Amino acid sequence: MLFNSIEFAIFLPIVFLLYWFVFNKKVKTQNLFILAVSYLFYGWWDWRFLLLIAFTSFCSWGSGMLIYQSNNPKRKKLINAANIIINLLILGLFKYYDFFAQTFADLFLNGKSDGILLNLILPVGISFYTFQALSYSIDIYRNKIQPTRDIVQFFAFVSFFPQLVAGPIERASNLLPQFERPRTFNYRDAAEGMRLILWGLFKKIVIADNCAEYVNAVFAAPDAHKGSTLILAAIFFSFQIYGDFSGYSDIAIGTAKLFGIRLMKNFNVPYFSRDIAEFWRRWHISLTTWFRDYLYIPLGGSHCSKAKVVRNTFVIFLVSGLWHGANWTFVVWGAFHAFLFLPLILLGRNRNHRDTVAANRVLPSLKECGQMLLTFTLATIGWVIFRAESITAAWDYLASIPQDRLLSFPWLPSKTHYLVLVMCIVFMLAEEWNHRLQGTPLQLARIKSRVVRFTIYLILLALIALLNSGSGNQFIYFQF
Amino acid sequence: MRKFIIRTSIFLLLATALMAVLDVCLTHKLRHYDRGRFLVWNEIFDNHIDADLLIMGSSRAWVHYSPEILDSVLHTHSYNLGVDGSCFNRQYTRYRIYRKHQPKPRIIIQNFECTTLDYTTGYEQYQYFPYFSDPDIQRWVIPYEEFTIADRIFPFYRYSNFGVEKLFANKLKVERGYLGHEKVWKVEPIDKDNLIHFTVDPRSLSLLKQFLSKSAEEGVQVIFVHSPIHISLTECQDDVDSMWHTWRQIADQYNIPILDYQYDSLSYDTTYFYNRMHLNKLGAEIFSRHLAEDLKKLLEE
Repeated sequence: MLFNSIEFAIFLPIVFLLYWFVFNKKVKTQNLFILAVSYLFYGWWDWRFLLLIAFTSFCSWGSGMLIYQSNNPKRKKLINAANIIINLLILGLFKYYDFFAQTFADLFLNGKSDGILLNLILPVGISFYTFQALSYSIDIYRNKIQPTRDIVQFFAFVSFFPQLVAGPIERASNLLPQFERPRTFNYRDAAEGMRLILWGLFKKIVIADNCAEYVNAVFAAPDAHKGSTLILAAIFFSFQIYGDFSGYSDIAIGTAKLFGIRLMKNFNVPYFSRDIAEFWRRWHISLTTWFRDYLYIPLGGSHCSKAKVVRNTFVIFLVSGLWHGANWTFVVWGAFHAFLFLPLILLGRNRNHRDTVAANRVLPSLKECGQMLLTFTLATIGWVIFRAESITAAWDYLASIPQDRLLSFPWLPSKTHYLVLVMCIVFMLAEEWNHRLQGTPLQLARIKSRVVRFTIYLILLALIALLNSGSGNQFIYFQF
Repeated sequence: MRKFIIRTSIFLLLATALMAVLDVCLTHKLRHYDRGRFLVWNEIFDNHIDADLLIMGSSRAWVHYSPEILDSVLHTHSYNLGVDGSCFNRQYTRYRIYRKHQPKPRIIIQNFECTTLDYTTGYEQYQYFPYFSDPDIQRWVIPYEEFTIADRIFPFYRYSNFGVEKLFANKLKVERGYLGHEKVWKVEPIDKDNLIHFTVDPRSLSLLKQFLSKSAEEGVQVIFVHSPIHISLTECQDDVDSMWHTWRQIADQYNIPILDYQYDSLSYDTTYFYNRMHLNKLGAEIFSRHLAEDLKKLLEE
């Protein structure tokens, strides 16, 4: 069930009303209800894979209990390792087996992969819920949290429908306690949730889906387009992937708020970053911090020699790239970002911009503008690699840019339509710039008039209705 | 909670009202749009046609029969009701709606081919969007054309879900329902695994018989025509003999003449086609003149 579908528009209010008016007596009943509707939400896509989520959840829940009950450190380690291996094997089987088998066939069998490929369907959101479930047992092993005996509570934590298929990848330390205590309805949170849902839909349907129309057309035949068009498509893809993924996260966080659950922030105005290190502190925060806590720090983090920090950085980015998908383009995209990180590490500047740009000013300085523009340009080059079908295609795309009519007017199938799209992108950036410190756009509390606030919401809704591209695009990150 | 539900309800009511206003505005604009799929429907609904010779059929009718050329020879006022991507069920639906708004014609040319008696739905449904409130569209189109419940009950949803921009993407200008395509021959290699089969769907057959009976009752003369195909299409078609047998049987039953141009002299030259099934403008105009002469003789007999 997609957030931008009519099914979800019907599902959400029904679940909301039942949650607060029928199943509100006991927290256990509420959790059971959340679990049931989350499984219904996921099963809408393919009910067979519910068994996989249940199995993953059970492994982590069971291993969490066993680790906690054991007094033997070796046994604890063994159980934790076994759970990690089982989860990663499942993930590897569904997501990476065919990729590595095909690579093996290409290298040693002249590309003949008959009989060695499994052609399994990739379960939606497998990378997200596997990582979420894994973090629980690892945190118990590290004595950071205590396990829950309530299996329904844990299953609800893993499968909580707003963030089940594309995150944010929650930590047990943040989300699980919220399933333990009774939830009370909070008007401010619910209203905030509604605003976030509206803003997320705007970013997904207006920005991402319309950019996608252009991007798909250009990336399908880059040879047929001139340099300026290729640049515009790359820029549009930067906004497509941002609108798509951060829009999903906004809807997920907003939906969770309606149920009295607070999810972690996943994006924090990443395109206003002044260097790549800051970009990665603001982009897909739940995944970046997951890798930091469960991979980077165990490898030694930044508290070791420069050479090891460089090695750890490359490991993180390569694994992060591979996490996104079974294609060498993602690995190269990860490596590209690792290379961008390299000078910052070597010069000790990777922690330079820990604040928000122009924190005490309305506008950024000229220098900050230049830094943001450079970071955005580098991220956009990375997105071309990410979006391309193959490494060769990415290279050809980038190499074609300077070769053909770079300074001419780009191809636009409909000038008015794309002018409106650019205006919407500018509006989104302006709104996010305006609220970069709070991190949540569409904060209209200072507008006292309810009529004006409602008018703004209705204008956004009209834009969503009028500019819906009609392609019914899935969220990009569903495939991961 | 009470405050939240009241405010959310007010917002949803306002949102519904806003969508209804957008729906009315866009419907009005499309009802006056003179391009693409909407032009013929607008002409049908706005009582502009009043033809005495009608052409019915699929895309092949749509791009093969020039009313202007037919009229120049036959001295009639003709109109092309050809529906792209259609079998008889959709062709008859257009005719029924036409008749609700226009007087009966004197002659109807029913173009047919291998797929006419098959049954299709759900192709380019957006062409019906501006007419959703029309009772005939509600009775004959909406239940059959794969619209969702949301399309039917939420104002503006059908437009938004399709994409407002896409509604205006088809800028083709048809003349009295006819489109002369100035394209040149371009075809894919023949795929022997995907032959075009002759299929008779009982629903379409029943509608055809209903149409023929009604036409006979009203004194409307129906003529079956198989317009030219490129000769290479014979390699892609299956059961052509069965097709002819069926159509001849129906023609005999209802006393309807058949004009066969399947293997016309045009059929052997790719200059006149843009693919195996469709004549281009040049071919269509030669065929229309040829047909008009034959019709003239037939009608004089």
